[in-house]
Amino acid sequence: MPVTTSETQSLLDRGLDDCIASITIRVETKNDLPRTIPVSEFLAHVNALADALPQRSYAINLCANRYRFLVAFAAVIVRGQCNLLPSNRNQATQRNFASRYPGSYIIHDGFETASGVEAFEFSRLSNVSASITSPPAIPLDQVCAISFTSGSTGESKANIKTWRMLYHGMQINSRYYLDDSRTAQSLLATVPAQHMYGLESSIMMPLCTNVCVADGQPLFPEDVRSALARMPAPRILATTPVHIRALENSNLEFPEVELILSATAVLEQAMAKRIETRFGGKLREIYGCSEVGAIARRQTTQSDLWEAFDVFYFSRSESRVVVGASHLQDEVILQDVLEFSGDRRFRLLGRSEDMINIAGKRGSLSELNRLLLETPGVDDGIIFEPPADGTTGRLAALLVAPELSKREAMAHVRANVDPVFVPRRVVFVESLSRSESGKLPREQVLAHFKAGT
Amino acid sequence: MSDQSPAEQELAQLLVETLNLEDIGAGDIAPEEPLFGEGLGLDSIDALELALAISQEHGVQLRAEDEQTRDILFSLRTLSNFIEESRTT
Repeated sequence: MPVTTSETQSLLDRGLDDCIASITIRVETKNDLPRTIPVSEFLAHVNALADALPQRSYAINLCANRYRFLVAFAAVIVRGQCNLLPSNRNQATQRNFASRYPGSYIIHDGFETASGVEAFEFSRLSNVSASITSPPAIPLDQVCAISFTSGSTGESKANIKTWRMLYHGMQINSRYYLDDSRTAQSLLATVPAQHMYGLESSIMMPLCTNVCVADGQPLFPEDVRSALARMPAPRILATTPVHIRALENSNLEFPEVELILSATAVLEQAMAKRIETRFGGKLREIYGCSEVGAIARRQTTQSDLWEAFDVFYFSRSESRVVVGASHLQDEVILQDVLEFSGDRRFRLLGRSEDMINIAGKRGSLSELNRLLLETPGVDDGIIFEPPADGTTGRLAALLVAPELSKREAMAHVRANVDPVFVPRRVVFVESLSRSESGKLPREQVLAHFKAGT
Repeated sequence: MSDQSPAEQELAQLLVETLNLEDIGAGDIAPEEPLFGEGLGLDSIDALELALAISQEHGVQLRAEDEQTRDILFSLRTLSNFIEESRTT
């Protein structure tokens, strides 16, 4: 890892007796469950794991249990290695990462790993020392993690995270995520720790603020309800519009949640109102991207304007907005269209035309369409975003492929992209009336689609 | 395929309708075929939508902390068994 300055910053900024996590699985052979982990014990776990890790450069961190992820994430950093954070656990992805990053191994907590890739299973720790009195110091310029912007095909883009970016970024962010970062609060997250929003909210936040994170990653509303019920108030729920819709549609009674964080896609104001009523707390949306992390926030029931965090400065490059900050290595061109109202407040007008975002995964429509048109037997076709209908926003397709079934026509796309990008509703047509330049006006696409569904 | 039990047939129908799997007939879903990943290719968004449909249809809340998730949602049969068990307990 290139280390350009000798400046360091401690692994965490917490009292040794504070609770950093509540666990429902065992990480050592002793102790009852569920229980809470004080910072001093967490540091002992990190030390024990760091000592046991293989001597390599990169750890593909696939741990599913959030506490194990947190310990593994920290141990990898303490050991001077870098966490690779893939957006899925597919074996193809594991192999791709292993060949792209020579000297890498998988760290996991009981998951089937790709054959031929070195794997280290972290489920139980042994040789845990009794007490750790001071957190380790981490070089600010150490590359601690690489997150990946899930492209729809090919190599995903690597976003390098130094400790400066992660730690200083989160110290700034926490002022905007939380109303009060000193009072002890319990946090539950439905997003994976490997996603940048999940990493900031459920891993960096417990390192930088007085938050005790639950170790699960509940999916279904009933799992969310029971996990919340186990946590002492005040509670925070870090989640997404996809999960929020599922919670709202369930007929469950939830414990009070003081703060609900939502990111990865925009939530409608009406839904935000229902959620605030239902949970008795505040719904705060976070806007960000994998390259930067969180950038802005809004309380959706109060305003449609986003408030950018005060460390960021914005400029324009042609029609795009560029964001920078002192803790970032480079300025980043945003994929969204922003309309500023004053220096720090903006409206989100949508994404640049080619970009799609489904369940927090970002992809390119033109890449998807290239794959579709490469498929043998597909004479013509287009993958597009159908008009919003209040569901999860799956893609749709028009196809000219007289000899193929839907499944056959999508096979090549399916083999090369994340499953969320595979179109669900497919309409077969006789031909597509493209213009001379090969373009297909959206109105015509939608007219074909409407006629066929 | 006629090896679906009546409960599995009904669940397969719900699955196809809920998830817009237009090209797959409910009867085509083999009871022991994986629903997610390699099999039908469903993902966690589908799981959430399916959970909602099942709670509305059968009054059963899917619970799936950690390892259980994969077991219950593995196939039409495992999911159907889970619903049956939950309804009778």
